[in-house]
Amino acid sequence: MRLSTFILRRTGLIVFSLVGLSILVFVLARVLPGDPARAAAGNNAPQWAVDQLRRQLGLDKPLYTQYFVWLDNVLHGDLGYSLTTKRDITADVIQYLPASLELIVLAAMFQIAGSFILGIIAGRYSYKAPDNLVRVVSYIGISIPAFVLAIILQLVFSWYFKLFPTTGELSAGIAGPPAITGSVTVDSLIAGKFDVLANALWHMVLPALALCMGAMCQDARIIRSGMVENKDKDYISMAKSQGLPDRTVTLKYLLKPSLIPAVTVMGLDIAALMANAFLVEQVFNWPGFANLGLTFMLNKDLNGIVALVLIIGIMYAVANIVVDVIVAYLDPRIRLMERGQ
Amino acid sequence: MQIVERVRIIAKRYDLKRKWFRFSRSPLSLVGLVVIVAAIFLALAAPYITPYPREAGLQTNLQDRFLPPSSKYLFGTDQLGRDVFTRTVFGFQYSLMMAGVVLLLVVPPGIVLGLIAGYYRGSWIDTLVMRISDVFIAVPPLILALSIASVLTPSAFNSMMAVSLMWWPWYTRLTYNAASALRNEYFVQASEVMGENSFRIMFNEILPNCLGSILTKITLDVGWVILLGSALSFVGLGAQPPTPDLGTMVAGGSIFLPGQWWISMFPAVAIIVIILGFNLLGDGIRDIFVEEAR
Repeated sequence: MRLSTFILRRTGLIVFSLVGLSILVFVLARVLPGDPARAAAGNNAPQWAVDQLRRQLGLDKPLYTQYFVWLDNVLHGDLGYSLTTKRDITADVIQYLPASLELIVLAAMFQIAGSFILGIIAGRYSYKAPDNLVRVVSYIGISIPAFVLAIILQLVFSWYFKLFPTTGELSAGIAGPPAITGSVTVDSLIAGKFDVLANALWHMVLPALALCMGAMCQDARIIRSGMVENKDKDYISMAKSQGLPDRTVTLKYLLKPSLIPAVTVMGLDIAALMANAFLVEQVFNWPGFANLGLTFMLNKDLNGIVALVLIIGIMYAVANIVVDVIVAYLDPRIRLMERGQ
Repeated sequence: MQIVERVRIIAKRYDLKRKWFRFSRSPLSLVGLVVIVAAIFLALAAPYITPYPREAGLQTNLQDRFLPPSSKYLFGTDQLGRDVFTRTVFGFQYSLMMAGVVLLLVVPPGIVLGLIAGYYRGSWIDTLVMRISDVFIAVPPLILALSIASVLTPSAFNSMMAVSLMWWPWYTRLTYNAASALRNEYFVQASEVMGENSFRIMFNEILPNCLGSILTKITLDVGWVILLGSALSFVGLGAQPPTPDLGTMVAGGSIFLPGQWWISMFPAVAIIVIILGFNLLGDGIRDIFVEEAR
């Protein structure tokens, strides 16, 4: 199979899943008890006003008509109107998504760097003290829910040692850069205000750590076990007996074959950081997409919930395709299969 | 005949002994086992061993609010003067119940769907089941669970329903992969040739060969389900106060940080301990089956 056909096929399947997902959430939101028109009009509104609003919102039409109207709007970039924020959800998403994305990018950097460092140390010194330490730490790291870690980090490093700010995006008294993209870090880079950038990054360290810790530990374990598995293989003994330096053996011959499973899991873990953001942004009062999503959820804002599931579904799908392409690039066996050899 | 029977029993006993030996070689697995047995014991005995069992529910004790940990209140008291130790021990009940109910609801249908799809591999049943399961794993589990829980009315029961609704595809896929690989083995073909009933082949021939990996996944999943459940409660979409749910307690107590840290930190540590225990136990059980497969 050629790479382009492969990507096309995957994209087709993913579009299918996304349509299914939107139907699922849409139907759930409409079928379950509760009258969205009544919720929109308020408890004290007279019945005729509720009926009028129902007609206005198209809620009197059959479910499948409602769905196709919604789908048509979404394809035109209109995610509907939020009854919680009292404006178009598309505008909300544009305002809040960048703040989440910058946090996720930093968390992904921590995750990749941390998992490689921990994994390589543990793999190189397997069954010795450093390995045992990494294994115990990573067990604990996997077992801590993101919100628990967020609170612990906040308690220890912000409240107790006062090394990092407790909440928010910027310190009080620091003016934000002119909003262009909506992400404080990117905007301050564009404006050339490096003090603002530093301040923003300083605020992002703890939330990013809380976001990525579980994934980082899991990936470190996968890298380690891949390296340990290959350690007894003949090609490693061969490389060692030829007198190759330890660094080359570890990084080039041991690490490389361990990369394929690690990259697969790592990519999905990065995509899943958005989910953890729902638990971390709240603790650090981060003005991001996940915080907005939680507001939608707690207010039963159906348009908002459907929109947010769809957007996260798209992000997840894109990440999936990217992972597949990277793995195909890393694994020569897959590449050779493409050429039909 | 009788001798054959007895040999079989002895062989089975020997097999169990060997499994236990493999499991007990790793100290971490043993730690996990001890933690889980202790947690289950605490959860079952909670009404009898906790000092103030009535404070797990609605009873408050306002003159003793915000007391730090002491010999009278081991983990301190919360904003309503309730003993945090008592409520944490009761919290184990909810965590374990969450895991138990979800897995009980999810594993059987997940396995059956996976078996059917795997056995009729390539047919329309396969396509239908697997494409539907794709829909449920198109977003991270937490997001879908949160969304489903939010359109339902938040409660402990509904959060279990929400998690169950999105968890079955993982078992379907696991069983599907195993079943579709076994489908062309000789022993399956032999049963087919002998005219065996399709359902009998699925459940008597194929299923027993998938049980090892399913069992491993179940033990590893318990920790994840508890984590997901506590996350749902933490954001307010799961069990509601005054339910002594660990996630709810962490959320409720986090308002009083950093001053009254004990209100949220002890339940938080309890969550870590119980999830860690199940992860260690699950890895121990996986090691048994992985080595057997070699």
